[in-house]
Formats: sequence, structure tokens, C-alpha cells
Amino acid sequence: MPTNAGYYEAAYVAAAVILVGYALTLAVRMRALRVRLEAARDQQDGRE
Amino acid sequence: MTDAAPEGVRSTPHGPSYQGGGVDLLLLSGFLAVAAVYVRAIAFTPVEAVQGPAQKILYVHATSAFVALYLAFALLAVCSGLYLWLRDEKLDRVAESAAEVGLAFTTVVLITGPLWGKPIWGTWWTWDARLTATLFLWFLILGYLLLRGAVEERAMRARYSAVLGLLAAILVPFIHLSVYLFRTLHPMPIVLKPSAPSMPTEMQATFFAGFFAFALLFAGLLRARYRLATLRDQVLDLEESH
Repeated sequence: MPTNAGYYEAAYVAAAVILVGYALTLAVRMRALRVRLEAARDQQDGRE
Repeated sequence: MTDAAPEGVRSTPHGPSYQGGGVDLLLLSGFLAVAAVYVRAIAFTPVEAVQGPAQKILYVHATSAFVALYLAFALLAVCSGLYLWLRDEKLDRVAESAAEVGLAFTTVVLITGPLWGKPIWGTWWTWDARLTATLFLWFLILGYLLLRGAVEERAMRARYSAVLGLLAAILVPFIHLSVYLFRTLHPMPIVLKPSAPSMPTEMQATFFAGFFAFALLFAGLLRARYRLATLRDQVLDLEESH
């Protein structure tokens, strides 16, 4: 049987890094949007 | 906020907009399911005799391809077509979300594929029909997302994107059939084919568990991305109203 476990270990790590990394970018973007939303609401309340 | 809205959800002109910072249970379930499949594939699934341990890349590679092609980009095509008909912004946001999440899964496919190809084929990459068409689709979806960033007017952006999304998704059946239409290094389907799956029962169980887990993760990522798009439109509406 060939000894090539390193390839599948690398593939599993790469897949995890991509998918977890993508989920983290969603969380970071969501947080930034919430800050913008609050700023926009504050500005709107100030005008009213 | 409406009385019926759950905590963290605010009613907006775009429909309910999620703003809570709590744990996303669907997304967490998706990651836990994928982690369970990792454990099963690594520790409890037999090693294939001819290919060796590298064959276990199948449980990540093929399942990610299934999610990207048959869930994400199929959803992109359906929502793009429906948007052109109904002009509903929600459909545009679902299409946008499906494209971005699908791009992440296609990236997994394009990275794990060469890692499987090198020990089995003896080469990282070959310009055969399936690999080339998948890479082309990756660039098309990247172009779709860049187009969305380049057009400011919302209705025009949605219309142009819908047309490009529909055209990109045409590649999906071509990619599926490419192993039948062309001579290619890439193997024929072992599950998505008219006859019974060509693998032992234990491997099949891991494979189908992988399908379920990656589909669940797709659903979690899609919902999170849709919420992001809804909140972004809400913020833009507020900022434009000033």
C-alpha cells in the first residue's frame, strides 16, 4: 500500500482553513456593518 | 422592532435583519458535523488498498464539489432567473450569497484536487476538460462578485449579476458530463451515476455523511451571508437617507 498520508492530511487542513477562515470573514464583516448601522442611526437620531 | 421578532432580529424594509452577536447554531452545527466526518474518515474508515491514505481526500473533495456545483451554483442560477422575472431584492441577495459561499467550496475543490492528483496521477494539475472547466467556473464566479462590487446602482447591479450568474451556472452540467464527453484523467462519478455506488459500504457511509455535513455547513454559511447582505442594504439605505 502506498504511503501518502501527508497529502490527505494537507487536504483536510486546507479545507478546514478555507471554510473556517471564510466564516471568520463573515463575522468580521458583520461586526463592521453593525458599527456602521449604529453610527447611521445615531446620525439619524441627531437630525431628528 | 416588531412584537413577533425574536431577539436580535429587527424588522426593516428588506425584511427581518439579523443583528445579534450570539452563536449561530446552524453554522455551529455545520462545523461540528464536518468535524465528525473528519474523525470518521481519518479514524474509522478503511484505507483503500490501491491508492492508499490519499484516497481519503475523496470525503472532502467530492463533497465540496457536490455542494458547490449542485447546491450553491444551482441556487445561484434559480435565484438569478427568478430575479429577472420577479425583480425581488431578496432573490438577488440569495444569489449573491450562494455565489460567494459556492466560491469558497470551489476553492476547497481546486486545492484538494491537486493534493489528490499528485500521488495518484503523478501530477498536480492537467488541463483536461473537468479541471479546466472547474477553474474557469471559479474565475467566472470571482468575476460575478467583482462585478457586484463595481456597479453602484442597486437594480442595475442585480440585473447584470443575474445574467452573469445564469451564464456561469451553464457550466455546471458541462462539468458533470465532461468525464463522459472527453478523454480525461479525472475518474467517472462513483455515486452520482445511474448504477449503484462503486465503493464498499463503510466508505459509502462516510461519503454520504460527508454530503450531509457539508450541505449543513453550506446552509449555515449561506444564511450567515444572507444576513450580512440584508444588513448591508439596510445600512446603505440609512446612510443614503441622510
